[in-house]
Amino acid sequence: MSFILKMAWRETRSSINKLLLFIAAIVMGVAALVSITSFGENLDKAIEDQAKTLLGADLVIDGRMEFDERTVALFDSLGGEQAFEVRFTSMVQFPASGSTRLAQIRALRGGFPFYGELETIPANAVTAFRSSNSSALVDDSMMLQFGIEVGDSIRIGNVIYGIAGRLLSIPGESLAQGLAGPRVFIPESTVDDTGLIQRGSQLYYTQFFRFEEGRDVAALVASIEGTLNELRIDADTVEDRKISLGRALTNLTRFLNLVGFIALLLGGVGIASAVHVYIQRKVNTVAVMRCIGVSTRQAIAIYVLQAMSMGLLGAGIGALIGVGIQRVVPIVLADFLPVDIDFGISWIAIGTGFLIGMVITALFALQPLLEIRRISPLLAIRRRFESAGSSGLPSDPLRWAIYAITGGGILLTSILLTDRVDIGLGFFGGVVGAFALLTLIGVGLTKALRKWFPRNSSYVVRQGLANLYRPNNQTLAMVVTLGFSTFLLATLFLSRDMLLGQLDTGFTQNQANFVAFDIQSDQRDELRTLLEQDYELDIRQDVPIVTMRMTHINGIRAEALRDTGSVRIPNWLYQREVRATYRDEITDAERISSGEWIGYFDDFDGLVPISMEEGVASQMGIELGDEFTFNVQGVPMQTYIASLREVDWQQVQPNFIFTFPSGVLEFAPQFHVFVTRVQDRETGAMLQRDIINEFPNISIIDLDLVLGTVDAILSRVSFVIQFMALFSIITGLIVLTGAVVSSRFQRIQESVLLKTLGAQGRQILGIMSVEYLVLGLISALTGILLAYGAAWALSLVVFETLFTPNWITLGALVVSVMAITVAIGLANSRDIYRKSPLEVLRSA
Amino acid sequence: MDSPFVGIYVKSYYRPTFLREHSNLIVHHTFKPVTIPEFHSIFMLNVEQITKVYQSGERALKVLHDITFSIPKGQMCAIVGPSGSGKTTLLGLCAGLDTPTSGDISIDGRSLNGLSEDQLSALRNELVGFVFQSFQLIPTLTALENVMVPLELRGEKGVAGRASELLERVGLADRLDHYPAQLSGGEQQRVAIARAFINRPVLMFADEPTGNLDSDTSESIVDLLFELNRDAGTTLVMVTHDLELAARTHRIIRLRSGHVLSDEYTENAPALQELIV
Repeated sequence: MSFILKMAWRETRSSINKLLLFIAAIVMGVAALVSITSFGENLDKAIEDQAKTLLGADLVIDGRMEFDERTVALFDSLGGEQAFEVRFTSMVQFPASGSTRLAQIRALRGGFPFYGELETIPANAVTAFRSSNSSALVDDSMMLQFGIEVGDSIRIGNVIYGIAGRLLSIPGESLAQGLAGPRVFIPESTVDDTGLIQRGSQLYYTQFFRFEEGRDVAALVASIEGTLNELRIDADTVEDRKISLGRALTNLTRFLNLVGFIALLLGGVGIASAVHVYIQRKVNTVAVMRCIGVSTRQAIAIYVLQAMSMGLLGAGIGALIGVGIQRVVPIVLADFLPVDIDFGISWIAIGTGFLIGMVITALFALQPLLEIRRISPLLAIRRRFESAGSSGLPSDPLRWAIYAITGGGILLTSILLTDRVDIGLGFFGGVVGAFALLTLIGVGLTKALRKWFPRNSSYVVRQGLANLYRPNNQTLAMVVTLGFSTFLLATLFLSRDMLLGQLDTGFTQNQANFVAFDIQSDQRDELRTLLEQDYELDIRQDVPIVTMRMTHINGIRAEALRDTGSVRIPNWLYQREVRATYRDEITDAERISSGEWIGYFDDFDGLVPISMEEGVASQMGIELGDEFTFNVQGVPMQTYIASLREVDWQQVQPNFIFTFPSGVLEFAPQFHVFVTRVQDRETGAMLQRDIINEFPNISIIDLDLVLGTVDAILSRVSFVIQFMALFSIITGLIVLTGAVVSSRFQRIQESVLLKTLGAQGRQILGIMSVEYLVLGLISALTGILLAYGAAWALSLVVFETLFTPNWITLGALVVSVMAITVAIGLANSRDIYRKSPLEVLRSA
Repeated sequence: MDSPFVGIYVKSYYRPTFLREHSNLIVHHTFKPVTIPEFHSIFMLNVEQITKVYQSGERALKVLHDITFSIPKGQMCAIVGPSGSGKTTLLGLCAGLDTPTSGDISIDGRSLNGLSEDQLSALRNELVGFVFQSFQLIPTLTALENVMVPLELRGEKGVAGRASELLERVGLADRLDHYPAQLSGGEQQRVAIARAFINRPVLMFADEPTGNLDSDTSESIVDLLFELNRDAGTTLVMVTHDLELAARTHRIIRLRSGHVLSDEYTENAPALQELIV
């Protein structure tokens, strides 16, 4: 065994307890990376294995318009076993309780899904559903919400169905997908009876195919691609679905991996701090070794080897824990997964996590280990000496090189974890910025507290505070790690509060909060009477909607444009009928960003001046003056873009991509949307019930529904984020524990000295309590200040709302962080204040 | 003869036993030409006009002023002086632990000037042994391992036997596997002495070797140190406050405020000694 190896081992074996904490700092980060990467690998495997069930068929063809004869003939020519579904949203009502809810109706004909199963309670409900013309399968979550049981009934339009079973899962769809629109399956043969297929209804038609084994679906799709395009319908194969799903899930695992990486970086900060303190303790040993003849390089090598061994052990333990945690991840993410994940050990994940853990340990440990170079052998004969011209930081190229390598290492790892240079760069910038800010705020707060702390406070308080500045303190490292955990949680809470608060203002402020749509022209007056006279409501907007189909842009057929790709036409505009309105004025939610708003036009020979939403226009590369031709229920209408509008989509009211001036569309077939405001939730529920009873085709969106949906989604999302934040929090607590334990000897000496001078046990306890309390306070405030900034930026850029932080949540967070810090601090120091001075002097 | 001559001024003296009250009796001065190799073979440590200045902010603090002396092979020399006189600084410079602001130091004919930190380390490992006031054992190593370190550093194999023998010689045969914290002060210093001698150094530096020990223990430690020193024929440079201890060496260099106040031979000096002045 070489000298360096021997010395590294000898140095390790006697301080294994302290080093265990050093190891622990990276364990959680590596565990997070291994579990998430493993999960990602297993997910890929599950997608591969369950590929066909993702689609439920070999081929799916869908369109936004009823399949015409030509299309049906095409389907017939394709052969195989086929199924058909028409999908739309509608109000449903449970007669047992009278409660109503907007739901997604799926009228099914045939044996879909061909692969996988509709999972229900009872299990045989699907058979019952298929064999009856009056049964429905209803989303379990909606049945739970309204307390509905199997055997109860559900009303959809004019038809009342018996509920054959609770719908638990649909192949290829996650639970979360049902949150916004709970799903109800009904037999396709009953759709017409519901009376819901009316003008303006948005319908989605889907044809499912199962082919005999061995048929080349990709070649089949390629052979009919031209026809599909012409018919404005889309084909989706198992491969397509795998790719799109894979992309979505890659984004998810990428995000989770980055959160795990943050935990690892926090561990890195903890390691840097711990190694710094460790080396300060080893100054004498290194000086003696240097006297005996150990070279600088050998001395550094001994400790680098030691750090790397610890990193190896930490990364190994982390990887093992990660494999264990991996079993939990699918449970945490269950609501978002469209496939069943099997547990499997992924060596790639273990290897990746392990390697990244090692690299981070090495990079963060190396920087403080460089301090060894400055340990003069002279220190062996003299404790302190004046350095004759010590080399300062700026002139130390090696140190700068290590900084550069560390930065490069983190950047490379970010890119490796995200598989994308831009995201990796963005993440790296964010992490550097956040760490720099945390350090800045942490240092600022610490200094401020020191400066403005009441000097005439009691000795216990002053000593407790002074302890934060003791030589070799790890205050900053603790502030950064605890602060970052607090930052993650505080940002999460603030964003959630902000989002829900923003929606809730619909009730508290005088904004519209109730929208009834799909109102047919002949229902308009009756509904108006119901609202205005029975409920004394003020109809704030009565919006006419005309459906039309875009056929040409600048005189060129949409099909031709799509083929050449010269204008990027989004699918919804190409395949679906566009819903447009006409009016004299712009609404409160709109602003003309360029061109001129023309509110009235009646020159039937000229081009109609219309207004377009600027976001979509810029995506498509449309400019003022460009011409669009629409087919309005059989009548071609030539228009040009006279103005571009900025639209605030967040207001509860119908908004449009295209708006026409008055005077043009008044006589076109149309339907209406009413926008009003109900005073409270009870009135809203009552009104909904009355509308559904009288006008079953009319759908309603009220704020309760939106709030409920957003809350349900946010709860699930924040559960996942909280789970991931847990890794950072645990790392923060380990760093705190490590810092307390590594300063233990110093604390014992201090408290013994104080006891010798006559201090009571409770005074020493008080001093330590003050120290941890202040540390917790600074960390929490640092995190919250940063979170405040982040949430403010989010409010400005993403939510576009007034930032009103919930101080109660933040206050609770500060108190929690302080309490945890004090608890951990005191738990690790519990015997210090009880030690007798003599005992300690002897052992010293 | 290819080697150039250097002129050295030699004072030869007798210390007649009957004149105990006079420590030194100079008999005559002679100017003796010697070659450089001859010159180097005479002296183990050669200190030539060294100064040391510490920069403390704007202020320059000169702690050693133009110090010159040479210590012949096998001599035991004590450097004494009050606190702050510069003796530890001088020891640090002589051992290559620090570099002088000006002047030159050579050990066994090898100049320390211009050597890198690592070259100095290698030189110390080869030529120098250390005994410290506060023992300076590596706390994470056992007594045996502490003693083995200098040889292991050289890459030597099977060194445990030699280290055990040496520990036996210093009276710690039953303490081989004890850690420094499990040993008394005297025992720790014995381990330190064993470590200092294990690599058969030609020059031993001792910094207040009894400073942290009670008088009884001090006595036995000094006996041990001198005995090993004599047996190995090592040159000893010792910094101490203790004048009684200094008197047991061959020569005492007194420092005050960074200057050599006196440089005298004790009655323990060999009967005939030639020395450069």
